[in-house]
This record gives sequence, structure tokens and C-alpha cells, in this order.
Amino acid sequence: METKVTHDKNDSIYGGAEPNYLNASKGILSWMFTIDHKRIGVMYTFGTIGALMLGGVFALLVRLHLWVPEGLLVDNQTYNQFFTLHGAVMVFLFVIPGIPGALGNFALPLMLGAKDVAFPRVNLMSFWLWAIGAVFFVTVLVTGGLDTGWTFYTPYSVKTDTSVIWAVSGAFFLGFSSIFTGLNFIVTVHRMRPKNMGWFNMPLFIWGIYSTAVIQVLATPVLGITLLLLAVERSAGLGIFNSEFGGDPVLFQHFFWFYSHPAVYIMILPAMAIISELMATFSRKKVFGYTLVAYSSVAIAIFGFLVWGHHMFTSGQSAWASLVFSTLTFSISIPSAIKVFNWLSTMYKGSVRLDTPMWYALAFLWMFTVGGLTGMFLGSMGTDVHLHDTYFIVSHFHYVMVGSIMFAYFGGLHYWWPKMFGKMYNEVMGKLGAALMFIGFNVTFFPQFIMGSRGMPRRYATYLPEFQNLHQVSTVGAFILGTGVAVGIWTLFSSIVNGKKAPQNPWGAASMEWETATPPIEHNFHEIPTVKPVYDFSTLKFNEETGNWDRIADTSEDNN
Amino acid sequence: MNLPILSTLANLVQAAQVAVPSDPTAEGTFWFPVQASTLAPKSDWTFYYIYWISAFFTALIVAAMIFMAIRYRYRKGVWDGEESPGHGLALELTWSGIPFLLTIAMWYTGFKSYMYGDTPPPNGYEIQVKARQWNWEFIYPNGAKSTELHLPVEQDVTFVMSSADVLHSFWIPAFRVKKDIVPGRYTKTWVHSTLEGQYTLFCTEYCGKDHSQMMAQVFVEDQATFDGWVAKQANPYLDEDGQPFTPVAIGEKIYGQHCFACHSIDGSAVVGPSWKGSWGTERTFENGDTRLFDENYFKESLLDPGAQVVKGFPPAMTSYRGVFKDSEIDGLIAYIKSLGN
Repeated sequence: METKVTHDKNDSIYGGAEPNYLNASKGILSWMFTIDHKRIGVMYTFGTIGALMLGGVFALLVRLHLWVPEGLLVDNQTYNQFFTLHGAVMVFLFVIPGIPGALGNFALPLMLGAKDVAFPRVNLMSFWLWAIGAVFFVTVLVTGGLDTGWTFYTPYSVKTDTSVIWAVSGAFFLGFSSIFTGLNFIVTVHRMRPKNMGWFNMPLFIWGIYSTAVIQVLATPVLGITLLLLAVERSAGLGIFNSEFGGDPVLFQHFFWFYSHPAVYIMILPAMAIISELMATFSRKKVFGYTLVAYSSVAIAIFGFLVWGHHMFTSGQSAWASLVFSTLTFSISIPSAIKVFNWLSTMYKGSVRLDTPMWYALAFLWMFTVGGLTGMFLGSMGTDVHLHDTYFIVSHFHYVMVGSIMFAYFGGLHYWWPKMFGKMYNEVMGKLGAALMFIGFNVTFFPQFIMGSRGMPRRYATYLPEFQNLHQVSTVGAFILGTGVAVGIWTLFSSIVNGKKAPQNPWGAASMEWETATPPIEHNFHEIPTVKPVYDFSTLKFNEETGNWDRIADTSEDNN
Repeated sequence: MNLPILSTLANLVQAAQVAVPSDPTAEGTFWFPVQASTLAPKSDWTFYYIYWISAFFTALIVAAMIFMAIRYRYRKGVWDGEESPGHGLALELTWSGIPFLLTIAMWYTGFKSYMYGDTPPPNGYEIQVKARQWNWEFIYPNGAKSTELHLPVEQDVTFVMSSADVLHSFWIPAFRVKKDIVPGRYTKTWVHSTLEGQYTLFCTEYCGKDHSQMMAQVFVEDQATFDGWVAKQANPYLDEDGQPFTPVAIGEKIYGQHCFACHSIDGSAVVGPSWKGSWGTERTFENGDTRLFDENYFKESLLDPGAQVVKGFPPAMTSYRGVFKDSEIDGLIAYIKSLGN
């Protein structure tokens, strides 16, 4: 966009005449080699949305194939590739990097009043490692595919003819990308908070992203090494996980879940972090029990390391090991329950505005409740035996991965979009997208709980006719969900072209990213804004004329 | 957008009707297939315990959410809500403490039913389970082998399982029993079935191309039926009373399974020569040689059918080398002899 934009008398709240981070420099190279956290966040946003759409196409192919018991579209082998690529693309390219990479990068330094993250070049490298990982995954698509499931379980992953090495190499790069992002956020939060912003004066988004970052740095190397061992085993025939050469397949499962269970918290903690922001802003209340919510993020991050064995209750691991893992699994449900109750209580006596981001937040509360509570059935050893590796588990983790995380991602996108691009999207379309996603999601996945407990195993290309009705309902739901996602994405992107100009603070949010111009200037702030008590909305008043929430005289900040 | 939603709702109602069988003891319930083992009620009890607690809390949370979204909605011109405490220790302890106690019960009952299902009783009837891509084989103590699983009802049955290739998992939903089968080691599980009937065994650990076709039928039978079946499976040549077949009867049975399509027993020529009245006759071959149809010629023709083909017939037969035991070949000979000469 040209810098010659027209200005009116309200220029100051619209960002003023200064160039913003989007138009401060031009050309593809200025983006490729940018070290601006906001631009990197934008590139992550586009990249992860692209991955979401690619993974979504595979999801729809899977659901369409299951329209009839004998399979509608393809042979078994191809179906196995569909669900594998769906899972691998969604997990490694979308869900894990999505919120930290896109929204964390964009918002976290701004929320701290910082000019950038601690290591801007490492941040850029993180994005390009993500891109390389994505290229590897796309290469898998054209070099024989992948049919191991996203979990790469041995010894099948050692024996199959498909492109396992390409895929694990891609995951290896993505692991480094994730580590670099995490490392950056840890140092940024420790070193770059403004002097008078204590730990308990940080927005909860930062607590969530910080807890995530700790897991990213500590857990991801284990995945890297595990996948490396798998690649060596495949290429050199070393016996590590393959019993034919004296290895142990269950060892792979331990290694894999030692990363991949914490990875679930790498995915959900940032989602929870967004929900904390949305519940506070749109209820115009400080998050109820702020301290407990902050600590619960850290508790989840710590406990998250100690529960991996609950993926293996039927694997032949010892019953006593299973008992310990079951105990720890139930422990982790408590901080999650605390969060839900605290978010709910945040609305109490608030002033609740149901803008699009809040629709996503409330949808999240329902889906995370269902996703979390159905986790109890799986944490309990006795019921897990029956439900393990069935559609019940498929549904459970989709309620968490999609119902919670993707909804939070969309909620966060709709929340920060005006700040990112300086444009308001169409509220009606935004809500339509949210509603379609909500309906579609529940119609897709609720029947899968019933199917699973009634006896439908997961990863089946064909199935017994008795499950056809439920499968068809699920498939219809998937297409409604797909439509909703498309409407949501379209609403956002079309606003760049034809949206109204966004004011500086359209939601009345209290954190610092709303104190700078919209879109922000290249260096974020001319001077670091005064740090105010966290979630203090009392000095924000809506200006009917401009649609902005203006700061009125700050009288309360002296006690800080 | 209305139409897909409506048709979906209609489908959901229809699916629910199909999914809720009328007779819960014979066909299962909305959530579960029939309970056909001693483990099933224990496992299901924990499920329903968690289920009702979850339903209660879900309802509570959704109701509170809807109530507050309406009651405390933003009203035009009134930006601030009412004053309220920012946290409440007693409240927070309550909603941490109550879930904590409830989860202890979930954990404990789940652990108990898991240990019950994970501890095979001593002296159970032992069936070896061999899993491979993509089929099942069951081996019984008397040496019988089968591709469908037969069990005696009201008996402790232990499964000792191994895999020939990759990971598999042994799941019979009606029994609520599941155990992975890991290459390189044996895993065990057990069941005490309580209800005669036919069920399905699924592989539930993804094992490659035809994973979804790796199923087996499970038959739970009364003890006498099972004993008869397993004895017959080990030795197919026993009659109803467990008496061994005569050699002629053995031959007749094999004829009915393998030979009838090409060899008649009424003198008519089909693909190959008829067996009726053939024993002890002179056979003439394409090259003019002749040979007596005796034990040695029969065995040679069975194992190496192309060596000496009777004149006027195509060399269509494939070798049966390794298919039959000597006693079965003797039975065939006796049977042909019985058809006259």
C-alpha cells in the first residue's frame, strides 16, 4: 500500500501519518529477510493458515471416503495416506506452530512494550525452518506419500515403503523451529519486561506462551533424537526399535510420547492463553483468580511432562507404571478445571460484549469442557482399555485440538486482526463463520464418541455397516465445519481489501499492544507506555464517534 | 446453509434410533455393545460414573455461561459492570477440591477394573493368538488351529499373543478387552465370557494397508459345543460321537472338499477321469504306455499329476504335495476302492 493515505482529524487514533510495519519497507526481500517480529508473525499467520487448509483438504477426503462402509473414494493404501498426512500436516505445521508462531510473535513483544523479541534473527530462522519443514512435508506428498500415521509407530515405520525419512526430516526441522521460538520467548519474557511490570502484572497470554516455551525447549529435543534414531534404523538397519534386530517397539512409544504428550500442552496452553485475554477483555473484568490461572499454566507445563505413559495403558507396559501415569494424568485435570471455572467467573458482574472473538471464546469453553471431561474416561485405566484406539479417542482429541485450539486460534486472529492489518472485518460474516464452525464441529465429532465406545476402531479405511449412519452424520458435519473455516478465513482476508479502518483499540483491551498505532509502527512504540495494573479497564471509555476505546485521565497508575 | 443442517439433524435422529437397540441385553445400549464378559460390567460402571459427573459439570458450565452472558451483557452506555471480587480463595478451593475428590474415585475404580482385566487367573484355558498382516490365527491346547475364535462360555480363557511382523492390537468390544500385540515379546490378556453369541474381534493398532480388514469372528458357545468344535478342528475326521472316521469316510470327505469338481463318482467324464470302477484298471497314456491304477500310481498322480496323464484328458490338475497327510491319502485310496472295480 502506498504511504499516501488520506488522514482525517482522528489520525492519531488511526495510527497517524507515520509508516506502519506493513508499509515501512517494500518488496519481497524486505519480508523474507525481515527481523521484525510482527512481520514474522504475519508470515507465520499466512503459513499456518495454508497448512490448515492443506490438512483440511485431507480431513475432508477422509470423511468423504468413509461415506460408505466399503470406502467411497480410494483403496486402503491411499486412505491410510490421507489420514496420515491429515494428522502430520495439522499437528506439525498448524497446531504446534500456529498460536505461538503467528499470534505469539505478533502480540507478545507488543504486550511487553518491547521493540522486538530478544533474538530477532533467531526468530527469522525459526520461521524459515518452519518453511523448510513444510517443504519436506510437501515433498513427501510427491515422493511416495506417508502411511505410518502421524505417530510413526515402529516397526511399521521401519518397514513401510513410503517416504518416512523425508517426513521425519521435516519434523526434525520443525522441531528446531519450535525450539527457537520457545527460546526466544523465554528470554524475551525474562529480560524485556518493562521495569515496573512484575511477573504478576503480565497479561495471562504471556504466562501461557511462556509456559509453552519452556515445554518447547525441554521436550522437543527428545522428539528430534527419536526421529533421528528412526531414520538411522531405517537406513542402516540398526536395532533400536525394531525387534527383528533386537530393538524394542515400545521404547519408541515411550520416546515419542515423552515429547508428544507435552506437545499437547504446547498446543493447548497458548489456546488457553488467548481465552484468558478474550474473557477478560470482552467481560471488561480482570480474569477471576488471576494468580491461580497463571500458576495453573505453569503447573500444566510441569505435570505435562509426567503423563506420557497414559498413551500406553494397553501397550504391555507394566500395570504399576500405568497406575503412576493414571494418577499423574488425573492430577493435571485439576489445573485445567480451575481455568475453566475461573474463566466462567470472569464474566460474573462484568459487562459482556459478544463480538466475534468472544463467540469463539464461549465456543471454546463448551468444547474444552467436553474435550477435557472425555479425557477422564481415557485417564481412568479401566475405561481406557476399551476406548483406546477407537473413534472415542479420535473425537476426544479433536475436541481439544480443533474444538479448543483451532477455535482459540480463530478467536485470537479475529481479536488481533485489526491490530495486525489495520482493518475491521465484517462482524456478521465473522459470527456466521464462528457459528458454522461450532455447529459443523459438533455434528462431526459428537457422533464419533458414540461410534468409538460402540466398537469402531480408528484408522479404518473400511468399516462394519452398522456404523454407517453415524459416519454419514459425521461427514456432513465435516463439510459444514469446512464451510465455516472457509467463511472465517474469507472474512478476515477480504477485510484487508474492503474492511473499514480499524481504530487503535477497537475492543477496549487493556494490554499494551493496543497502546500503539494500528497497524503498529515499525519499532512498536515511540516510548514505552506507562505500565498499568493488568486488566484494569476502568480508564478505557468507548468513543461513539471513532469506535475507539480512549484512555481517559489515568489517575490510578501512581501506585504502581 | 439451512438445508445441510436440517438434513444432518434428521440423520442424527435416524442414527440415534438405529444406534439405540430395543433390547439392551441382546444388542447393547446407546453407548455400548452388549456386555458379554465379567469385565464388561466393571468397565462400564466406571464409564457411567464418569459420564454422569461429566454430564452434570457440562450442564453446569454451559448453564452458567449462558446465564452470565445474558445477565451481565453489555448495556448501551453503561461500560462498566458491577464491582466484584477479583478472586475468592474459598470458592477456588471448592472448585479445585470437589473435582479432585471426584477424580480420585474415577482413578480408583478404573484402576480396579484394569487390574481385574490385566491379571489372567491361573489355570485358565489357554489360546495362542498369532497376529500378522492382516489376519488372525488361534491355536488351541489340543493343536487345533482356526481363523475364527471359538470360546467356551463361563470359562476363564487366557490369550497368549504374539506378532509375526508389526504392532497389532486385540480388541473384542463385547468383552471390553484390549491388548497390544508387540513383535518380539508375548503379551497376555484374558476373558471370562458370560453370554453365548457371535461377536467381532478387531485389530486396533494401525498395521498397514489392510488394517481395517483385520477382523475375526468370535463364537462363544456352551462347553459341549465348544469341546466338539475344538476336537473336530484338531482332527476333522471324527463323527458326532467323537468316534474316528473309517478310511473310506475320510476319503469321501476329502473328495467332497477337493476332488469332486473334476472327478465324478458316477462314471461320467468331467475334467478328469471318473473314479467309479476305476480301481485296478489299466490306464493308457498319450504316448501309448499303460499302467495299473494301484496305490503307487494314485499317490504319484496326486503329488505329480503331470507325470502320466490318462489319454484323452488335459493335464489340468495341480500338485497336492504337502496338502494331505498319509492317513488322508490312505483314506482317498480306500474311498476309490469302495467305488468298485
